[in-house]
Amino acid sequence: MLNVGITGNIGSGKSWICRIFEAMGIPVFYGDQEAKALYYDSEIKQQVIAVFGSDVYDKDGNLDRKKMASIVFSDPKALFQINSIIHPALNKRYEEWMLQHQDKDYVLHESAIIFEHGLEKTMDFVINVSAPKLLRLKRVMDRDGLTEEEVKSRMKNQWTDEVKNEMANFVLINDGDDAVIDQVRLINKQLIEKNKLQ
Amino acid sequence: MAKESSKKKVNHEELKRRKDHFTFFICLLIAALAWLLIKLSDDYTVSYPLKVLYAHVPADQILETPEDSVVTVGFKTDGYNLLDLMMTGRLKTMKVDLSHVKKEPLGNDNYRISTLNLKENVAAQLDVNEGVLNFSSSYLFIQFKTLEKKEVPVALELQLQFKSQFGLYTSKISPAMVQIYGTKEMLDSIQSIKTVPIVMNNLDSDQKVEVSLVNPYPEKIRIEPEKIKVDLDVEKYTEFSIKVPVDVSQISPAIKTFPTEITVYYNMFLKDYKDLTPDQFKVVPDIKNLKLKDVKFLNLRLEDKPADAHNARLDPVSVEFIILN
Repeated sequence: MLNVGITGNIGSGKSWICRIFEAMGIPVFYGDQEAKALYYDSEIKQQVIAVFGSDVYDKDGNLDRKKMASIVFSDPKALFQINSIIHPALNKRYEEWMLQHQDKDYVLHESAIIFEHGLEKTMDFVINVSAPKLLRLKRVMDRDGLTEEEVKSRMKNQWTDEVKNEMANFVLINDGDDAVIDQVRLINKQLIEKNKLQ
Repeated sequence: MAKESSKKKVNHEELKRRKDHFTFFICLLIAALAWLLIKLSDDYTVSYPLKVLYAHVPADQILETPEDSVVTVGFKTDGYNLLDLMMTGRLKTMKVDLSHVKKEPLGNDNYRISTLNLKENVAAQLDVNEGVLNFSSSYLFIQFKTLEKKEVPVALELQLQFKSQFGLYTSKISPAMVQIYGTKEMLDSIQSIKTVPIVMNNLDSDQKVEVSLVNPYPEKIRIEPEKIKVDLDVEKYTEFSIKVPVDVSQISPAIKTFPTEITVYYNMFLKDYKDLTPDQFKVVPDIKNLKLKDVKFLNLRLEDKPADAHNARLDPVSVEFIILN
């Protein structure tokens, strides 16, 4: 079974593409969602509080994402520390999840930061979902109700599509004009063939 | 010196000659004016052909008499009145009001009108005494044709432009139905009568207008009434949006669309405002005359929506899909 990563910048539509793969019977591990959920795992929560203090969670026990982001994005050491807590746990979850899908030709691991975190080294192939910057900007503004400046600020922290396309094994264009299902079908067919050749 | 004196003498003679000419022309003008006034004071006996115009033909009838029927009217009047009649164009037509004048039936929808009965009106039109008026014929002959009647709705033609976020809430036509008269063949070809276009810009309040109806065959049909009243209720609206799932339940073989739900934008007048829910809308792929295997995209159609949601539009207007095994 192949371990395939699927990534893409904010607003590229990677979650939508994953839904198409799912409809075609391919299991998808939503890494970013799983990582967010890990902050509420009792063991992880204790580790986070031990490093960053209890006030990163509010009185109801919810993670204060803004506070956490301000800490980790302003201090590289803090970023390293949180990654050291979350990533091993996330990898463990992913491995457990993969065991449930051994019968499949491949599984997909969806994450926005595969290349940024060097996760591609642990994967057999990576698909990058690419879309024009202006279209991504509009999609996120419509979807999340953010201002143009807020979206641009988030985009600034991500690598460009050009770099990611260069690094990816497959590039899926989701520009609103090209039919994406045909591209998904083609990638699906190639991955199944590659798995058979293994 | 002698030369200069001679020159002055010539100029003096020239001035005198000009003065004599001027006096002569003034006298001539006064004489001509006096002659004209004397002539205008004289009485003249004249006769003029007047075109007969029939007014107020009964709604359910049409006049078969040729349009160019003419009657010659003779009368005596002074020059002043004659000049006035010529200058004001009152010597061209003679109006006959069919709703007031006495018509003598001759059978088969034929009638005759005694010109004696027209004397009073024509004398008033020409500003002469009835006694000095005579007609070239004693009677005018007319023939009616009785028409079929049909009631048809009025179709409002609107060319309205509104201020931002204003729109037409309702329009009320009074009367909403009008009678049309004509031959059966004509009436059969008419299902409604249009108004002349109501053109208004920058609307942000209610409007009341009276508008004429367009007669598609003015020579062959008659419309009663010829004008109607229109009340336009202009209201403010706001745009809303709602996420609605694409309904593929009726499609075989089963498919899954991407995305599975889309956004419906619609306008709602503030006076109708209420919360709408996705189940009040129905968005379906338009698969008429399509083979699913031959297409990549399916156009979407809004099959159902609440009556209060206006100008609905879909985003996106088409979706991709996969056929489920």
